[in-house]
Amino acid sequence: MKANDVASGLALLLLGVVLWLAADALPNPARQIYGPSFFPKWVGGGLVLGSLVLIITSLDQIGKEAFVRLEPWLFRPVTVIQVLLVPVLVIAYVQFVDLLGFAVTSLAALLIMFLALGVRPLLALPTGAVVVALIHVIFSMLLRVPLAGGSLF
Amino acid sequence: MIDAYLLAFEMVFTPHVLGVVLISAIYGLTVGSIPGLSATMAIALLVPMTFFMPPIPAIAAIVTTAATAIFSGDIPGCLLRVPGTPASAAYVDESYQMNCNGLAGRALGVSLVFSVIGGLFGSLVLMVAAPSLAEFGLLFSTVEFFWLVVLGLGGAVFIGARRPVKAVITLFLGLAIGLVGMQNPAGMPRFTFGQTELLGGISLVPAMVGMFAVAEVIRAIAHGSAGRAGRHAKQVGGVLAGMGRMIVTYPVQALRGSVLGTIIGALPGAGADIAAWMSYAISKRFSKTPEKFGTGHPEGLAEASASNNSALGGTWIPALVFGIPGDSITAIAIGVLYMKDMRPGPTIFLNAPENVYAIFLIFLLANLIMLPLGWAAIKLARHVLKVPGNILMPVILLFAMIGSYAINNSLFDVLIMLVFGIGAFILEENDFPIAPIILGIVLGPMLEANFVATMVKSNGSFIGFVNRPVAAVLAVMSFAILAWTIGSAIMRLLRTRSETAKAPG
Repeated sequence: MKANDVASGLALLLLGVVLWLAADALPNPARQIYGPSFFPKWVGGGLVLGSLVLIITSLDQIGKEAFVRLEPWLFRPVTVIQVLLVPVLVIAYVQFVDLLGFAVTSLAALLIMFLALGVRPLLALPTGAVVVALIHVIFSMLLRVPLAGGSLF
Repeated sequence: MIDAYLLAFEMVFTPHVLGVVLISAIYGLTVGSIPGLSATMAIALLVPMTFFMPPIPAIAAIVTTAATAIFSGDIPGCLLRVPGTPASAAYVDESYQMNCNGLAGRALGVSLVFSVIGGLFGSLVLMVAAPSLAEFGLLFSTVEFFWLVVLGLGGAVFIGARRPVKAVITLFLGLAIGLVGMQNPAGMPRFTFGQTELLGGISLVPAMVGMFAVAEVIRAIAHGSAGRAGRHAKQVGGVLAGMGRMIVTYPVQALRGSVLGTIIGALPGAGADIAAWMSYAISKRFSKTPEKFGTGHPEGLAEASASNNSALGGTWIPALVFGIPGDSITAIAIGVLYMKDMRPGPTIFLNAPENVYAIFLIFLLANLIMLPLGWAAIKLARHVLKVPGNILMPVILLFAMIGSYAINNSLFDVLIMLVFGIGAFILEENDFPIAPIILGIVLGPMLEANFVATMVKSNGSFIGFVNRPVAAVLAVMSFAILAWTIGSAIMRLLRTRSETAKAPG
């Protein structure tokens, strides 16, 4: 998805205004002169100013470039599914790792992604197993990170 | 000082540290030689592991990886005409041309040898300049630090981007992200949305891993390069043959590239990639045979290779002395220094000089080890290049997830990584640069603390920001950068306007 600079400028302008308002609403129970909202307001203001400059200097894009243009890959269903797999697999990992354990969850995520990207199953399975074993050695054995063992087993 | 250096020697020359340097060098050479994976990404994926190491091996891993990755970015540039890292982009055509002329070995040999020369030069300057700058830095108060941070942020903006205003905007986004949590002068929780995980602020490492690794994975999949089969390249021979003569032929170029690279690196906001572009241009400008540039001539290659590796030492000068990153790699490194309780700043030279000297020694070591390992990397590169994207990208994603989790053993951080990865992907698709966000997150809390402290000291008067001589000079420099940026942006705008007006239709 590609927005032109006026459109993205407007979105960022809105964000700056929201930031300023949210900062203004921060409580200051200790009545400090330079309380919690002091610096965030400067940041919000800077964002507003920057967005305004972006909008003004890009006004000549209006009429030449669409406000929002969809990239070619968004029209290829296979690619869209492959891209969506990234957030889906990350969220699924977070959801299931405590239940299934690190080894099973990450091997499953890896295999799904390999196959979705067109790796041959005969190559995907051993590669996935080696990578998961490698991560286990580095993080669990060398760095002593407690990777989830899984409550199911 | 001698005592501190002896102590540093003992700290560095242990099997543990040397082992880390060796492994990091191999890792850096591998990642750097894979097109699309930048030195910054190599570092971002490494940080979770350094989290579990003692300070000196952790820094050793980062320095070695950065140095070797920037060199090995030259390898696919020469063999396939695809720069492995942005720092190699400046002279890709030149070295690929040499490859076409059957001189791949010589091209990579020049890259390697002059990278080592540049890297050693930058390290030596760092060793000499940093301690003396630090003595000067001890005189600084909150005002001067405020302006230094402003200068650092300003530098990031005015050099880094095609449209500086976009860099300004992402910088403010970074500052906004740095607001989250309760580590602010007022000590109040801000923008935590009731999440206890956010009270400590957004963790830097997952954010970084997301922006540099996950965004890259998404981009590769979306634009189809993940499905691409591995590439084939020929075996390279005769890498180090005739290199002695090259050094004798191009001593001026080596020196000029190293000096310029170190200076560019030391300027806040500019790093190895910009140094390489500038050095290549300067080499051509002052060459006796500028017409040979672009036809497979080693002169510009030598100068720019020395330049991008010397920049690495340069970027560490402001990073160590003032805690101000010169580029995104040092921004990450500063984060690691803080994690390891080695607060960068002038006092680091007073409190623990041996730590700093150990870092210096590691710089020298990393550049020296690059010579044999770089040679091996050139020989083995064609095997690395065979790894197809559809194997690589899922593996990177998994490493990113586990790495983000490992810092705090928190699944929440894995989600942070995802959010930042998607955000960075969208921003970069729209030509917004990402590096200023990292600078904003790292420097934001520092900027706020010094800003508020100075305001309190001066009773809210802005005069307090300019009434000390050094502060005034820094303020003038900051405003000069601002004026120059705005001025050149307006000039560019007017020029494109008049060109489009002239163009018929």
